[in-house]
Amino acid sequence: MTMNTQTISGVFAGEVTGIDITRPLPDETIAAIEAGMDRHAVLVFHDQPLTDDTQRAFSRQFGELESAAGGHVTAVRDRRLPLDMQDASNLDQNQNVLTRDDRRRFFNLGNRLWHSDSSFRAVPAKYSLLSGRIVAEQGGNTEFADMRAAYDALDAATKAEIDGLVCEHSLMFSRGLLGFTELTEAEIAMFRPVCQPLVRVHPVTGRKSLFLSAHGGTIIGWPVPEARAFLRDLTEQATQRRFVYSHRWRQHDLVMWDNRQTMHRVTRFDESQPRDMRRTTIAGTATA
Amino acid sequence: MINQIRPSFANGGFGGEVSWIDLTHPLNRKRVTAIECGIDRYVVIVYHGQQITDDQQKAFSLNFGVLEGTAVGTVPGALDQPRPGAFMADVPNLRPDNKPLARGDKRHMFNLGNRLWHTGSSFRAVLTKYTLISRLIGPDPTRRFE
Repeated sequence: MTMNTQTISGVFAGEVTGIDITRPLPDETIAAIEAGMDRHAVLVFHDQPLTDDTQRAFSRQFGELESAAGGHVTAVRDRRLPLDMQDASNLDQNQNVLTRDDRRRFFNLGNRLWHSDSSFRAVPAKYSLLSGRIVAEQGGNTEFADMRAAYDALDAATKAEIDGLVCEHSLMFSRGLLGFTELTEAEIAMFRPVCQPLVRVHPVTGRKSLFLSAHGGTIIGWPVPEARAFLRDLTEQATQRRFVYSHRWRQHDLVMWDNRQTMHRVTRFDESQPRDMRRTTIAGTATA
Repeated sequence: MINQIRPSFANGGFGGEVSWIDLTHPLNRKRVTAIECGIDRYVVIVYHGQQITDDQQKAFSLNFGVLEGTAVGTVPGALDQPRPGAFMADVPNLRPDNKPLARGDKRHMFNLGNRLWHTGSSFRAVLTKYTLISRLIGPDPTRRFE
């Protein structure tokens, strides 16, 4: 079996075939996957029936796993999954679908906004690996926008203007966009904003990209309404269809993306049905 | 008249341009009807090269119905010293003395809402029909109105 990576027709993402990621892989294969990530920023692996353990083992070959602590309103004792598995499902700890008025569901609705994983952390995420255990029959696509192409498409005046700008990111900003503002004192303390540059440089390829995210809510030194209007303008430009790959899930897909070069979101789906998606996240390095 | 309204974009029937008309003069009913038919078809119509005063813009606008008041729908205090009259919604970045609004000005903050997709006056019980916007002074023409 030979690993092969091909560009998905018409988009920037790649599809990897000829590989079984449920088993340990030699270093050269891992290096080839990393090279594919540098180039495509999103890689799709079909027909990979992962367990939590095999997903962890595959993920750890790309770096340390990020802990989910501090990133949700679900208390650690109420989590369905261990802290090193991010729960992107609509299920509670008893495997029941979250009810419509459950505040954990309100919080999860933030995933419908374009974002980069963990941009609200001082050390944002490098890769995310999402495994489709139970996928939605309709909707529930994960859409990816290429922030390198979005940066390249900006006019010279905008590139000059955003060079060196620093934004504050917080889960409070993204949830605030949805009107979910009822947070406890402890949650407010946990979601304290962090600073991130508006333009990032990829550590391997050297390519610049826009570091946008729904978590971004201010630009240091700017009046807040002006900053939000500008960030929204940039986000609308950066998420035009020509920059987007929309992934239609099949059971046992694993999709892996580089948060340093992309934003993503989930599209609407029937939340009365279980959707079980599990994410491992590779910690990045501090941007400041 | 209708022959003088043409699609402004190559990619379909949305948006039209009027190639020959002088909006500073009164129009007869036939021409007004032709413009209304053009709007029904193209939804957005652009008239280039119209050096129009406030009074002429009002007169042209009244061909299509009653003008909506602007007393509600701006930030409180913005109309203490209105720039144009109460039937002209002010969309620029200028103060009553025609100097640009300061960056932190509350009126500027309010106007930033125009950067969000919206339909005019959907916040009113009685909605608007047409909006007519006239550009007197503007920045770099590559900055677009979508």
